[in-house]
Amino acid sequence: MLKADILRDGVHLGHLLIEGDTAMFEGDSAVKSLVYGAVRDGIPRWKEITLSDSKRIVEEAITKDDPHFDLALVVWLRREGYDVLEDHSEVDLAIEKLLGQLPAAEKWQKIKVETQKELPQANFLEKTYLLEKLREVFKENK
Amino acid sequence: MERFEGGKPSEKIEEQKHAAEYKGIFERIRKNPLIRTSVLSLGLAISALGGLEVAERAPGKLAELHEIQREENVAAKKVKILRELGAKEKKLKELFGERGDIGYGAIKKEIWHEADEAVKKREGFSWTAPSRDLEEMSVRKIDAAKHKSAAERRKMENKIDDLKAMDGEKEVVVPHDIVKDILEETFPERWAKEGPRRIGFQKSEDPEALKQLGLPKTWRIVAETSAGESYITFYKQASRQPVDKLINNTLAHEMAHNFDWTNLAVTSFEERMDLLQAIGERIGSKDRLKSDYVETIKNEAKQEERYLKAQEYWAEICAAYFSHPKEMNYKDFKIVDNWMKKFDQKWNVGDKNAERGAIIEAIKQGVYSK
Repeated sequence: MLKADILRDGVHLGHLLIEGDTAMFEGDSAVKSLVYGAVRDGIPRWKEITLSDSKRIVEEAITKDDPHFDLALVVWLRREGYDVLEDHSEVDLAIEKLLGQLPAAEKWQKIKVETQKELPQANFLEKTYLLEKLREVFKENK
Repeated sequence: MERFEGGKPSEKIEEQKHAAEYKGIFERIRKNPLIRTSVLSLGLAISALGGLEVAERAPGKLAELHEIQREENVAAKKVKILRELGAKEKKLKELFGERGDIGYGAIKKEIWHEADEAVKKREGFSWTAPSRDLEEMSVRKIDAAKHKSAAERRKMENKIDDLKAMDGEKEVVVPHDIVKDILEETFPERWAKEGPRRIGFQKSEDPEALKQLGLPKTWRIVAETSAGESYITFYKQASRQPVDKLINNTLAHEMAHNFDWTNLAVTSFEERMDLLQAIGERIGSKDRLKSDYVETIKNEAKQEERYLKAQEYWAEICAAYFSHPKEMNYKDFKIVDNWMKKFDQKWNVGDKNAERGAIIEAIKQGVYSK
């Protein structure tokens, strides 16, 4: 399952959910029509192939039956000029889980509070950075 | 960057207007750090609490060799390090088969010869510095074609075509001299100097090309990179994407192939082994970047498949790095960012992406000029 927010020029246009060969979009009607049209009619996918003398990016037509249709749809929407921000709530959950395992000492609890304060506005890079730091600490203290 | 000087008074006013607009675009785009200071500080605080050092990873095994000049038991230490390097090589071969030998095997003998000489002479032979001279000397025997003379390189420079892309429904032309500016000023220093010698644009593809290549006739060729990565050609399909995607994503992806673990310019053998190893680990991770460029690769020989996937994974995380780094997993970001700094010591991806963004925005608005 893939969940993502769709934006254009910084304006939030809606929320996309793709599961298997089914896509749901809530939001801007033009984007909705574009997404549903893509699911109905298929989309062009770019992939790179390696030949003896070169690498070539080629375009092929795929339909929703393709096992990687969800990835192709995201990339295609980006080529159509949209920003697609994928949902990574699993990272939030992993951080929360580790924060919950921190010792009760004040210095650790302070970190917990600070991290929870930063999380809502953190981007994916920042979240995964914090997760890495927390994992390093737990690994070191095993 | 001096772009708006000279010309007649009327042109001057126009240029000043353009300069102001350009500056405005630039100011709006920049000053947006990838990782905010508060988050960075928090990460450091977490590490400090765990008693960890947040400095760079431990120096490579080759760096340890530098120390052998000051130690008595040179032979024992040398054997130990050789064993550790051999283990790295073995792991790469397990992952990628013969493709995992990225030149190290062929030049190992010479490395050790140099090490012996250095130890004997007690001279300042540095194992931490890129062993460029040594590599060039050795690798020339393996692949002379990869090392063109400086004169040959100069001769091939400046062969860049105007590129075409879209801004909404409008076609945008990126003049060849601006493409060159973008490469020289907003990509790591050596990317422009030692990257592809030709970036071309072809309005139509050769109708026979697909047939000759044995590819389905319904496919279209978007872009092509030569095996030696000396040229990149974009076709009509590539021009149907937004101009920022063409530059930050497609061009960056193709150029990244030129600067992976096979690039010999500034990196040491061990660094290149480590990069391939890191990418090999990432493509097997659950939290890897999902890309149809990578996922669609199928090959009956699994080690070959893994190597091809590693090549594409590298190019894809580079494309993400140059286009939307804030949406990258920090593990991928760190791999690419560390590598780019080897090609440009002053490199700052946040600033450079912002500068490239400003140039692209100015091209779209027609206010960018030389």
